[in-house]
Amino acid sequence: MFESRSKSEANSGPEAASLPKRDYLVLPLLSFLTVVTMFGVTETATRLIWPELKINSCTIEDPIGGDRFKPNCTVRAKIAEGPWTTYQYNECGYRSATSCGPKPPGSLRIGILGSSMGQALHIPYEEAFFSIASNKLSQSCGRFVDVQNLGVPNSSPIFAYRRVQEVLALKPDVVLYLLAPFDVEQQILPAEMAERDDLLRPFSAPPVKVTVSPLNRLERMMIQSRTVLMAQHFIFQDKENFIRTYLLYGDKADFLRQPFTKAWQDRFANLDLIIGEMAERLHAANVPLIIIPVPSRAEAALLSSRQWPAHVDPFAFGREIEAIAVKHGAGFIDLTQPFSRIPDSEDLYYVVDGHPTPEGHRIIAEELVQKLEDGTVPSFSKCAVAQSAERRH
Amino acid sequence: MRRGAKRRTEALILGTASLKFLGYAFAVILVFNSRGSVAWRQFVLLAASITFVAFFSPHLSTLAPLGAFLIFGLVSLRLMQAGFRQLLVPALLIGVGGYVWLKKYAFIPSSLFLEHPYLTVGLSYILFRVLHLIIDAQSHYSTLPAKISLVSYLNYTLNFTTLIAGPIQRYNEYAAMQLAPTPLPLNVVVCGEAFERIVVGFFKVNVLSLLLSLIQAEALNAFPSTHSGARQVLTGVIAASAYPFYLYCNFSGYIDIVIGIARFLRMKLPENFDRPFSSENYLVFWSRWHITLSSWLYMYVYGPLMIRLIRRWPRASVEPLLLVFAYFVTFFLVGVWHGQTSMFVLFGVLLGLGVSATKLYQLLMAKSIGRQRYEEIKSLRCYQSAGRGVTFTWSTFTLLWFWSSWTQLRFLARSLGPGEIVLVWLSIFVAASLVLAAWEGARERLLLLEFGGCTVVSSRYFRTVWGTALAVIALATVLLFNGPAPDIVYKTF
Repeated sequence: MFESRSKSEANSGPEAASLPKRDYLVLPLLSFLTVVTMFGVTETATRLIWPELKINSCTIEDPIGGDRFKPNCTVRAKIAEGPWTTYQYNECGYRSATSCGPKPPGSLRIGILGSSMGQALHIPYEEAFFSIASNKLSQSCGRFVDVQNLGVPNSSPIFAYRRVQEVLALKPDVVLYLLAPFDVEQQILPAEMAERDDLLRPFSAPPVKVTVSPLNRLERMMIQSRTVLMAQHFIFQDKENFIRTYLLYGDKADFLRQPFTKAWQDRFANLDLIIGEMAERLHAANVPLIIIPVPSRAEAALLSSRQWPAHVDPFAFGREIEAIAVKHGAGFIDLTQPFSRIPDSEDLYYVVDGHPTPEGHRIIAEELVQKLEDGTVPSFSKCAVAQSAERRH
Repeated sequence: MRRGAKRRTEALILGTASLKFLGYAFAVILVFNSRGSVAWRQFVLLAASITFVAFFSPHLSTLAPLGAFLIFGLVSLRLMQAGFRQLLVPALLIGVGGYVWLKKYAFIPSSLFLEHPYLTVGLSYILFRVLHLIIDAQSHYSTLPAKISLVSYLNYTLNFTTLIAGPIQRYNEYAAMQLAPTPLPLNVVVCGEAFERIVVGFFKVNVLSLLLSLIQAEALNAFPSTHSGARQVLTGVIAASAYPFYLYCNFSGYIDIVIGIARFLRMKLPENFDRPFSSENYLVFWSRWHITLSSWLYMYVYGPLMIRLIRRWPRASVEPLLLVFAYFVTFFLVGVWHGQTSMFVLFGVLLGLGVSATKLYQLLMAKSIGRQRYEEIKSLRCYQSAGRGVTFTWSTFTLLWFWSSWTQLRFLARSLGPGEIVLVWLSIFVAASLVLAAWEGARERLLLLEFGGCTVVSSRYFRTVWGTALAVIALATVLLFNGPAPDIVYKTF
């Protein structure tokens, strides 16, 4: 060689052929403990950097099934990915800044049914779609537009259906029903379908017993850890990674696949029945119903990627809901169009949580305002005219 | 995605220190070790290497020049072994000329180049192996076997573990392991050490080199917006000095990985790095950096050149000058080998100047103050620290012509100005002297730490914890970074 090295440590001496027997246990154990320690340190650090506070102190059991919110209750909560959010419920337990009492004279009222999408989970009140829409419509209509939000997280369509009487009692001018694929995915038992009109009696179907093995518990603990959440947050920011992983979910992701599986056909059949009867009751009271399917983050990612794998169709869910809405004379807001026009529209969602961000809510609000101003809902038909007149002045 | 494009993407992923590359290697390892016969090992390695090459090329036609080069090598080898020694020089000229032409060196008129795209990945390393075979086959002192089979030749030249970036192994070393009836042992300790090597390499490439490349990129981007003199100097120091560390982590990390993989394939590849930044002069640096390249050049350029020069001018008084000249020529070729443009010609000149000036300095010092006194000075800590500082500063300076372009160099020179440029290099020298001295001191102390009768860092318990931690961090970085694995710089050469 060109010059001898001053000191060269050989990388390995003569290779030992075997390990002491105890090392077959000690070395893997050390490896495992290292991983656990690193996980613990990361978990502590991520909990400090990304705090989360989920409090259900305003949630109570609804006599008609599912949950509802305590009247006049306020709670502050935060998910790791989102801002601190204050949830304030009025005297009826609705997420509304106004009273649920009689409509103020001369005002218009919107009733909202649905689950977390309707309730605007993780969104500060003033940035929620209904709040933005209320302000814009109040301006364009020249009269106050009140919103009574009956949305409750984790409500399956059947609980939304059971609240139709309640929403009608508020004398709304229009009822919006927001639903996402994960609302439709929720299991509806045959007994629940059969007893859906018996409001005085909670469902008689026995609660489904789920046995949780220690391994399942460990898996759940891992999935719910802040470290995994942070990892997923970064990994799922990549559109391709997210789509690829999401499509591995099976039944949960089958609403994206064509033709629909038997399970999803059954879910749509139940939804058809529920929306049909919901629309019938509302129409009988002369209240228009508008169905708003909110795309999931996976649909948004596919829409903005503009190419998707064979048999995958991000428009399929919305198309199915539209067919149901049209069949029952309900209005429909197609959010897939505006979302497909936005590059990287999956960024309009909290990456892991999957609910829309304030920016996503702004787009939903714009579409809602446009729909209500287009004259299809009689009470709001004058809003567009008023607005164009105002513009002329 | 079209098939061709998909295949190209796969090639990009396989040609890096990615998880896919490791997955491919481990699949090969499993098949390779499923039987012990020489024929089986030869067959699996050949199939794995050809499949690996095929990933890089969407069309068979793009492999034609590489195939022709391999055929040329085999024919030349056969001719040399058959005793046609007079064909050595034409064979070498054709080999080097063909390489220069296929690599499209800038001094060749572009009208002479092949127009359709073709594969050149690994061509440099194939050239070194082919030249080694041709030269050794005609030598009277050749230790090569009388007959090298086609499969052995292809496995030696195309071995997927060494194709992309070396190391450059000699045929005899390769054959002693790959063609031995009893393969090298693969016990639990060997597996553990090989796996540890892969983990360390994976960490170096996917965490450290990634981090250093981001630091350098940020420093370069900060130049236009940095106005204050001190800040500009600091930015210049970071932009210049981050690159040697990046290159080291990138290249030596990949080498660590392939050494680990090859060990699972019952082969011991030669080491390519030995703590180069601890070198106290530039000559030592080059015997610790890309070791197999400098060994190859020592064997086939420096040695024969020195012999010819001494034969031509046999006087002892001119021998030191001949030595310095031979160093310059050898390292000039090292620089030129790295790239096809004028940047690399200057890179070669700087490398040559560095080593020849070092050698000249050593000769003059020994002559003026005496060898013993010079050795005493060399053993002084402050002299060693300053030597490390000078070596690092010079290698950092030469690498400017390695990673940048003339436009970028002009921009950097204009952004800094003459005063700041001097300050940047002075700062690098002072910082390198102090930091590397501190590092050496800390390392010495760490190596002295003992527990239970053995040094802590060499204990398998410590290494298990350390390796696991590196693996967790590297995997988390790969998953969280979400991008393609950093490219291997030496893949281009």
